[in-house]
Amino acid sequence: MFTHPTSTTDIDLQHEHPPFGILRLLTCGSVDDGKSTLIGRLLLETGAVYEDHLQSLQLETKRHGTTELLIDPALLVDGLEDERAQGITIDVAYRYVRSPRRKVIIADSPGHEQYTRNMVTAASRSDVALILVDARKGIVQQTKRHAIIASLLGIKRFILAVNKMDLIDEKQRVYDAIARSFREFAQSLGELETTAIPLSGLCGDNVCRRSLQMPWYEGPTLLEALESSPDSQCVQKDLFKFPIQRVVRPNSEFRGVSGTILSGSIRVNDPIIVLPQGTRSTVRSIVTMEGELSSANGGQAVTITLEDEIDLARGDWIVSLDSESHVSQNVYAKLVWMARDELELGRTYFLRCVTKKTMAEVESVESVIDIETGSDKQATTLRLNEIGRCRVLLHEPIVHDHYNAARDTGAFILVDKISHETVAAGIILPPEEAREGTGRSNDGRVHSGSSVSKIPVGSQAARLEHDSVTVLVSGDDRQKHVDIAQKLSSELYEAGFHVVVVDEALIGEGIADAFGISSLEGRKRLVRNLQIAHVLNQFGIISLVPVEMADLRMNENALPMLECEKYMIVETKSSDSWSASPIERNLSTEEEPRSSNAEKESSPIRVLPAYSDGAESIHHLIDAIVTRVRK
Amino acid sequence: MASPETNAADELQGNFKHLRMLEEESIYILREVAECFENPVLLYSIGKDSSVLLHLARKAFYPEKPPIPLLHVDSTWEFREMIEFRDTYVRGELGIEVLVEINQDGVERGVNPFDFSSSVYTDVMRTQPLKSALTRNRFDAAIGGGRREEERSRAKERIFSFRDKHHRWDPRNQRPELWRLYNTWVHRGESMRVFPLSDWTEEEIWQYILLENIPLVPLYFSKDRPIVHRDGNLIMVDDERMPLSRGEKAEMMKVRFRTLGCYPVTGAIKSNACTVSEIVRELRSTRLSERAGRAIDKDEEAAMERKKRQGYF
Repeated sequence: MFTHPTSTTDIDLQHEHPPFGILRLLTCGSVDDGKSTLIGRLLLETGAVYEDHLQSLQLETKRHGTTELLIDPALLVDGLEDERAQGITIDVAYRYVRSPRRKVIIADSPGHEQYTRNMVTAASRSDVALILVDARKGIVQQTKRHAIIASLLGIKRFILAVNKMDLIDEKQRVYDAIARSFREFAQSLGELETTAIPLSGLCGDNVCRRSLQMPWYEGPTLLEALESSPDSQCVQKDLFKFPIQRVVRPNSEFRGVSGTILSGSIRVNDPIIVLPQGTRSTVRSIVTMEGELSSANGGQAVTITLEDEIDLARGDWIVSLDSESHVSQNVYAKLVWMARDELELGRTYFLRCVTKKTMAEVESVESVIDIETGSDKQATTLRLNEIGRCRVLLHEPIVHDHYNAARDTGAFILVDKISHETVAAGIILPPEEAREGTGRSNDGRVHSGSSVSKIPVGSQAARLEHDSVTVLVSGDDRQKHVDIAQKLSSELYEAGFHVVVVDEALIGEGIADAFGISSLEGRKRLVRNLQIAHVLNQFGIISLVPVEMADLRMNENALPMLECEKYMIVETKSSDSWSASPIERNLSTEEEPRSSNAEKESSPIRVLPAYSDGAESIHHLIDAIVTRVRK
Repeated sequence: MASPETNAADELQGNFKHLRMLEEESIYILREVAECFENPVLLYSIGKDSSVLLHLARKAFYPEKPPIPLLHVDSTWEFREMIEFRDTYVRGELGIEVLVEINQDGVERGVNPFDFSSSVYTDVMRTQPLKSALTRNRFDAAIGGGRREEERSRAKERIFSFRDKHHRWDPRNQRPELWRLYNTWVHRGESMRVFPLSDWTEEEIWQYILLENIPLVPLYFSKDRPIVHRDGNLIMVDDERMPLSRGEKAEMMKVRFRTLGCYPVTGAIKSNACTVSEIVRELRSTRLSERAGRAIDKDEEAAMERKKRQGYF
């Protein structure tokens, strides 16, 4: 009864809708460069402001305005009471301009003080950066800083708006000099495309209308430049990538996964791989409310069902067989520090990458980027608004890309567990960059740790005749558990198993030195050894990790680095007995900080009935391990 | 060679590319809410934005029904056709549950939009019942149909907008929104207001309604309705509760509504637009904002910002 008469054909669609989709624009400039005025002008002249708003604007111009004009365009943009009263911009705001040819979403970031944090926020999704300079002042340090940050965030196209042209003489000479000097500087930032436009936000010259004052200028107006800029959000036409947002199970008949196709396309019957597991399957159907599709493309939000009943969860990705995405448990990244408190190495933060949530800690800061020059300098921590190259350890493996290859899947945020403040924005770097400009003499042999192998995870393990497991050989007597690990290792090796003891002897002093972690404290050593064990497990190798019981109890939250069914703990007791225990509790790495004492007491480390020391008992242990890894 | 029809069809799809991008974005946000919060709710006000939101939610969770309940904060002064639409279409045809929250205390104390100022009325009949429903049901995320384009203080809203234990918004202390990585962590009692339609404009809402053929309350379409002139607004006499002053008489007039809320404070516009495409065309020629007929935004400069700080949606 509530359907209404509509038809998509009874309206003249031609030229009435922007055919180029949406452009996301970052605007930045120093205080008093006239940014709000310019954006206000753009809104006014593209008809984004209604009559009744204009009327109230006239009243406000009389009250707060800083111009002689009837309407101060800046007041359109500064929306908060404080902003209008003080004539400043507090925080990132979003504006919408609709020209006959496209929709522009403007992320308007404030130009003063806390520039880095706010600019990074606004730049994170923008395609084009509009950088304002005051024609009377030319390129200043702030201009360069803005360009450096924008290019760091992956923006490749710049519009240099040389504003306040109405206030200067010798317009052409001044403009040419400013445009030339910016282009020279921009060359140092890599391959950028720059359009320089002389304009006046206050008078509207070259904003939407061509200026009569500057007949010598032959380039586009600001609006034309925005309209002709290619639509970079136009989804990449490469490999199929589908991070799982939710698992849909309305009834026992249907089991699908929902998400947005980030790139590439998919057809029914296409073979796929699920990362990080490396499981293969085939697409059975592509489901939407409008019916099943035979194929779907990048940018579509769909639900996919697979032929096989395999394990799928939010945070996993479905990709094509030739996927170039990475799976790793530690990443090398540029971190933009956004919190007032400085970075604390080794502290656990929540991490979010695409749809995956886990926990992470920053292991080391290698250098900090000098925003004045773009070069690196030595540092050991990060303060508010600083950007540094860091190594980040995660509590479980994540699927990701490198930021320069795909922005949406190459970025993460870190969130404080208690204040829930977003403390950092992370840009994942390729391993090659790990060796550049770190100031440390790394030889080329040191691998970044990021898994760059194109061999699907788990496929090598699949060739072995046994499964893998990590056995934590623990106890109070340090020498004893190292000995037992060695003993177990040689027995298992004799029996034909692929097995390694993960301790200092394996890692070797050379590598430990190169990483600067030869003298790691127990906690970090544990995390590192568990990580190595986990990697070896992925290749099918049984890992034996000698570990002090005290360290283990204090750092239970390191255990989720391993999948819970993938490890056992052997405890050697002072009464010369050992026991083996599969871990029964599913250690969650999810939201809740596990800090209370009550939780410590209900430790997942359970001790099975002890065995007496001797040959018989070690064979019990070996039996327990062999049972676990038997295929 | 492609026929002229296929060309036209391609062109149509191409011309709606921005709508498909907005649609994808909103669906992504809705799915994030369902996954990241324990107890989310969708604030359903029966208007066109709510209708688009509900349609997007049905798409986002298909083949499941939206796993997020709908909550309607009923001021008791809604247009009768709105309540009928809610009960017949949403509850009846779609079979979706709608929770209804009414401030009974306000009803008993006779709070109405005629005798009370718009700020007192809105606070008692909208903001307070909203806050009490959120607190009582322990909703940790409330999805709303707000758009940044609507009003200047909304332009400063995050898509995931944090609220403290008292549902307060602090515009000076908002979480940064980086990429599409929303920081959705909240402590007990705290909550998030989520605006999946942030980046949509009124025109795009209508284009999308057209494209997707989304059912709407008939009040959006022009028809002869009983109207009185009050303070420059055209107010529809929707029921007998509306007091008419001496000599005031409702006259039949061909009108429609651009926004829907409480009938005594929602102005109609003179219009002949009876279909969605006629509305889209009409919008192109109008020079007045969509909320021009809403008394609540205008009592004073920054009225909306103050209401929002106190917990209004």
